[in-house]
Amino acid sequence: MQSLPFEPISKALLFLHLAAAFVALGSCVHLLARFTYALRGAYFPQVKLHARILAISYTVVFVLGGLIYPTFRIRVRHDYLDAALPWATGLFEIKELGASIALIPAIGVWLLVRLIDFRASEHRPYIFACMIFAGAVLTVLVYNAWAGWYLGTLRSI
Amino acid sequence: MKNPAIIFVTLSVAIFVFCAAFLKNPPAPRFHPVERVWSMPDNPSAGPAMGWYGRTGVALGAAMVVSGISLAVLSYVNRKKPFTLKATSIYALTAAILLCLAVSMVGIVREQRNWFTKKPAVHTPDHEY
Repeated sequence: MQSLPFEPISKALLFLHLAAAFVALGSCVHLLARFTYALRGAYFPQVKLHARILAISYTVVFVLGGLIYPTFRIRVRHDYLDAALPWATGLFEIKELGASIALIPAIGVWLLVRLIDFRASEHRPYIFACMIFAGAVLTVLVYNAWAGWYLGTLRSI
Repeated sequence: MKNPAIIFVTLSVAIFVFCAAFLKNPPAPRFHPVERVWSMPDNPSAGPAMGWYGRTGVALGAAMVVSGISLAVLSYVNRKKPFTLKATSIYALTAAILLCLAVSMVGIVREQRNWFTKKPAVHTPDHEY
């Protein structure tokens, strides 16, 4: 059988994809909690650290997903899901396209948080904006984690 | 760059342009993983194709070009007079970004609706239970 790009190491990449996704989910939940406290006037210096971790881990998840994708596209989607479970292909397509949509907000939170003075009242609207960005990213991450797990129960690479 | 207003507007522009280009889905190179070749949609190669790389790349490229111009212009304006945004403008722009992201997600789901209505191929077991 002809080998696909990155197929020999696809299982290792999939594990790293999963690990980075857990890091991204955790940092995003922490970030949202910190923003909620910040809007009430409390400041946690870890906000900038969590934002940096979210941006890096999301980018890593995104790139690793892109590397695994050729193997998934042929061995799972083409050979099984498209014909036998077309709705599962629909779930996957929403997952991958949603991941692209959330990429700029995930990196954008970090870029913006670096410049916010959390003690200045005139910067509170920016904290709110960061909260919306992080909320959008968390929504995509939760769906993608669920869809990734569920599709893996049907067939994996 | 120490001004959050410049970064916030630049990010907003990047998100709007990315979402618009992504939903518009202009012709972009497609990757054929079995043959390991790239082709354009009007000159397709044989075998299953992957459009996600090209679609994301084109949308990211468009977002980077337009937001880069926005960043340059705002930085120039900021040197003459500090660029600031009123709180209401920030809230309004945030609401517009949220709406843009929501519309994009709805658009993506609608794009995929055929997969949810398509009937699966009939499976004939090769043995009796």
